[in-house]
Order: sequence, then structure tokens, then C-alpha cells
Amino acid sequence: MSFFERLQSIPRITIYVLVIIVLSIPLIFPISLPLQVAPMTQAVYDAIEALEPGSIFMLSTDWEASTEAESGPQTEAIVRHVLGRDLKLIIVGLWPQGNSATQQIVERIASEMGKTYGVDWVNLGYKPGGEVVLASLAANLRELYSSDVKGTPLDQLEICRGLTSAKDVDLVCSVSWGDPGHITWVKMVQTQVGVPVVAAVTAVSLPECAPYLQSGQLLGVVGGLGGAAQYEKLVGYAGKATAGMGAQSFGHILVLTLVVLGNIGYLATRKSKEG
Amino acid sequence: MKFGITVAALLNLGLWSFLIGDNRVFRLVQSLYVGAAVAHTFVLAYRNTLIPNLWQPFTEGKYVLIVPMVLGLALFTRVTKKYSHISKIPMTFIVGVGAALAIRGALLSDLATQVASVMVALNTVDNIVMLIGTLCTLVYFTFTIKPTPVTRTMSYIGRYFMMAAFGAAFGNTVMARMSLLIGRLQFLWGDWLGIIK
Amino acid sequence: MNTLIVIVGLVAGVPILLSSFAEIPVISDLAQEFQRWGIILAGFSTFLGVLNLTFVNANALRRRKQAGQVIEPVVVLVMLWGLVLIGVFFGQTHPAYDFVFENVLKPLSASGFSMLAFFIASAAYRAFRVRNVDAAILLVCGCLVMLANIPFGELIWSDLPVVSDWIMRIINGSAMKGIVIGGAIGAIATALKVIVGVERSHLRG
Repeated sequence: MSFFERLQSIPRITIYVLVIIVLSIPLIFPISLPLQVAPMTQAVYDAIEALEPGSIFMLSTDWEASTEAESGPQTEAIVRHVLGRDLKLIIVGLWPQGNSATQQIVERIASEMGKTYGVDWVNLGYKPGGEVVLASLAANLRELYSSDVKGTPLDQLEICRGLTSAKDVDLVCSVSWGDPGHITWVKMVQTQVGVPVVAAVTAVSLPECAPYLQSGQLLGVVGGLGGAAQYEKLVGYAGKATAGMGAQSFGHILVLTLVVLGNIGYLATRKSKEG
Repeated sequence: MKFGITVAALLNLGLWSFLIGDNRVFRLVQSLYVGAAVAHTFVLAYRNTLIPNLWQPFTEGKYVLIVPMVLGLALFTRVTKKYSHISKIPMTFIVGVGAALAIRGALLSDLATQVASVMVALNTVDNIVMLIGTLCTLVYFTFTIKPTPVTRTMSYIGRYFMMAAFGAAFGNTVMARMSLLIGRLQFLWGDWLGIIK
Repeated sequence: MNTLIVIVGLVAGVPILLSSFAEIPVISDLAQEFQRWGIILAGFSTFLGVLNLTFVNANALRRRKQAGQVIEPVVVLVMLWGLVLIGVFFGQTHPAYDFVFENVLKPLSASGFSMLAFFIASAAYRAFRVRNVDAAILLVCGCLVMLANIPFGELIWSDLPVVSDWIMRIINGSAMKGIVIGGAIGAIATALKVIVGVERSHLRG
């Protein structure tokens, strides 16, 4: 086997070990890298900043624990911002695991910030059905949610007084990993009743947000772990997302290097075969 | 707390053993996950939907809910061979509702608003490129008209726009997948082994 | 049976479709009631998942003869029904449920997806070859976006974030817009066929 043929046949296990080593080194020996905030991340921050204290902010937990590495830090950064601005946080969800995980995140942050359940924040829970849930929520929230996730009737919760439909919500944020998720919120709520929507999505979903950002149906998007790190910078703390950016950088460089090596080997062997 | 973290870490490594090849440990861990995931989805649906949206209103006098109750029970006939055709009725209901809502969403949001957003003033390079890209991509997917030199050219341009879009998608996919592994490594090196402070 | 299915599809879909275009109180109320029924049926379908998993693993238990082969179905059934019973009777705050969610379900969900990082690195190395113009465009745009997503990218080329943002917003945005518009036309056509009963592939099996 020639050198260029060997360049195209690095064993799979070698690549897996390289990935673990390359990602682990900057986690164990942290490096500080400059972080620029993308316009679409800034737009989400500005949308929340524009809300008056006491405004109703609806957080939709449209993710599963599979994407906790991205959606968890995004949720934490946004919740810290929302509760720090004294907005009323209403949590709903289209996916089950994300709603349970978000409950834990918000309980921790609310306890740190001295926020009270039922007054400053509430979790209305997960409902199955995707589009159907949001169509019902847009029309009549009280028919859909008669109680919160603990079984307390909404009438007994101070935060829910005056909340009857999506029109009473000042801003919706969908932390989403796919479908149903942020696009469902745009189709069923934003377009139908005009409630502004922002999103925090996994990096995989970022390209599909572009048309909705351009049309104004989405005001802004926090994208992936990088977006979460940018949002942490805006809110003013360094969390898991910021800590992961060094590893993210090294990981990308590794993949680029592997792609380049593979193509060097391919082009060289193709040339010698043609020759 | 530490015992739970150790259990989680060992299960993590057990799942990752698939990277070496399919094995007994991986299949056992996978079985745990499948059982837990399906159970959790049902428990939440039961507590957040079936009780507050069905049982409670029904016992308080909303007797029309007997219809979705019967339809829901009919859904379970799907697991039997002899009566599984009965489950087609509730399934058609679910799909009918979903299809009607899909039309509502697609018409206003994806069709009307998106088409309107393309009709911008052609006074910047960005807007011109946006119009060309959108039109050429649409032409690429039009298979029912006879190709002409113009439509063929537009189709090629559309394909190049889509290749660029898929390249961008690939770049973002790499970012997403690396992030997920970084999260796991933060857990293993930090929460479990205490190497990351 | 086929006629009944067509009628059910029409009854379910038509009020919701009409209420999207006209504000007629009776039709709107019926549409909202049917939407609530849809959510209830979605709730029932989660138990269908439980039943299906139970029957599949029970059948696997019946078929397997050796002791070593029955462990996996037993694990699935014990975890499934253990968690269902604890969750239904005691709620998610029960320590056992909380332990399983925190230390089994969440980590396994995350670990499963994290394996994709290994696969994407290996697949990118093995399959991403510049064979033609299309592949070259894909590769160049992918590499630019990957570099721009990390802080190093700006250190290599100061205009890289601007170029990458342009690719994402304009090139990717216009292609995705075309796909979204085309997809919407297809979705409307298919959904209409489903409502009137012409399309019944979802009922097969």
C-alpha cells in the first residue's frame, strides 16, 4: 500500500481514540478563546431585554435528553436572563424528557435567585400531539392546561391570572431539537395569532431557521453550543457552553484535518491511476 | 449522589462499547434505555393529559369525552391480529386532525409568508441572489414540465445553491455532534472523575 | 369499513380546515373540541407504545430457549413496567423514579446521541471526497462554516465570520426557502388527499 493509499485508510478505532483525546485535552486544560456574538443570538437577547418586568415569557421545552449538551446550556442561559429581568416564566413542552430536565434546571436557578414557584415561574408540563397542542394553546390555553405539572389548578396560581390564550404571552422561546419544535411554533402560533417567537436550536437545525429569520417569523435564534456560549457572554457568566468552546474548536480542526488528509490521498491516488 | 453518577458513567461507557462492536453489554444497556424511555413518555402523558384533559372533566360532567375515550381504547386493538382493523378508525381521526392543521400551517406560514418575503426590492446584491436562489431551487424540483435550455440552466444553478446549503448543513452538523460528545466528556471527566473542576 | 374510515377522516379534518378560513362559532368550537380529542388520542398512543413493547418482548421471551438469551427482554419489561407503575401511582418525584430519570434515562439518551460525533468524524474522513463540482461546492461551504463556528476561524481570516454568515443567510437561506415553499405545496396536496381518504398509506400494517 502506497503512502497516499494509507492516508485514506486510517482505522476507525484510531479516529475514535483521536476524537476522545482531542476533545478531552482542552476540557482538562482549559483555554480561553475570544467569542464574538452572532447577530441572530444578539437578536434573542435584545428581544428579551425589550420586555418590561412582569411581562409573560413562555419557554417551550421542545427537546429530549439526547441533546442536553446543547439544549441544557441554552435553557440555563435564557432562564437566567429571563428571571434576572423579573419576567414571568411559563414553561410548556412538546417533548417529555426535555420538560422534566428543564424543571430541574429552573428549580436550581430559581432557588439561587430567590424566585417563587407559582408567582415568578410555573411549569404547565408536557402534552403529546405537537401541532395539535399548539393549535389548542393558540386558541384557548385554559382548556388545554387546567392545572400545572404538580396538579395545582391554574386559578390557584398567581402567575396564571389573566392568562387565557397565547395572545396574552409577550414572547415565546422554543428550545428545540427538531420537529415538533420551533417551526411548529412559527406555523401554529406566530403566524396564526402574531405572538413573537425566538428559538434556541441545536446546530443541526440552524440552516432550516434561515428562511424564517429572513421573513421575520423568527426574531432571533441561539444556535448550538456556540450560540449558548455567546448567550452566556451576553448574560454575564461563563457556564458549560463557554467551557466547551475550546474542545469544540479542536474538534472542528480535527474533522477538517481528516477531511483534507482523505482528499489528499484520494486526489494523489486518482492522479497516479490516471497517469 | 456519587453512586448515581457512577451508575450513569458506567452505563455511558457500556453504550459506547458499541464503538468496538456489537456486544452483550451494549444490548443490555440499550434494553434499559428503551424500557425507561417508553415508560417515561407514557407516565408524563398519563399525568399531564389523560388525567387532567380526559378523566377529570369526564367525572365533572363533560360526558362527550366518552367519544375520545372509546376511540383511545379502540387504538389498543392494534396489538391484536384479529381486531387490528378497528384501530384504523382512531388513527384516521388523529391523522385527519393533523392533516387539517398541516394545511393551516403550510398555507399561511410556509407558502404565503415565505413567498411574500421573496418579493423584496431588488436594490441589493443580497436580495437579487436570494430571488435567483429561491426561483432556481423551485425550478429544480419541477419535474412535470418539459425541460428547456432556460429551465435546465436554472435547475443547475438551483442544484449548486442546494449543494452550498447542504455543505453549510454539514458544517453545522459536525458542530452539533461534537457538542453532544463534549457534554458527555464534561460529565465523565468532571462530574464522575473530578478531573475538571 | 373503508367508507367509515373516509367519513371519519372528513369529519375530523373538515371543521378544522373550515375554521382556518372563516370565523363561524359552531365550526370553531367543534374544531377546538376535535383538537382536544386529538391530544387525548395522542396520550392514548403513548400507552400503545407500552403495550407494543410488552408484547414484542413477551414473544421474544417465549421463543428464546437458553437462559442467556432471556436477559434482554426481561430487562426491558422490568424497567418498562417498574417505571410505569411507580410513575402512575407515586409520580415522578418518587426517589426511585427520579433516580432512573437522572442516572439512567438522561445519561443514556445523551450517550447514544454523542456516539454520532465518532461516526461523523469517521464518515467525513472516509466519504467526503472531491469527486466533482457538486462535491467541491459542498466541501468548501462545509469547511468555511465549520471554521467560522469556532473562535480560531476569525484568527485565521478576519472576514471569515462575515463570509460564513452570508453563506448561511443568503445562499443557504434562499435554497431552504425554495425547499420550504415546494414542501408546503406538497404538504397541502398530501394533507388534502389524506382528509378525503384518497391517501391511506398511514393505515397499512
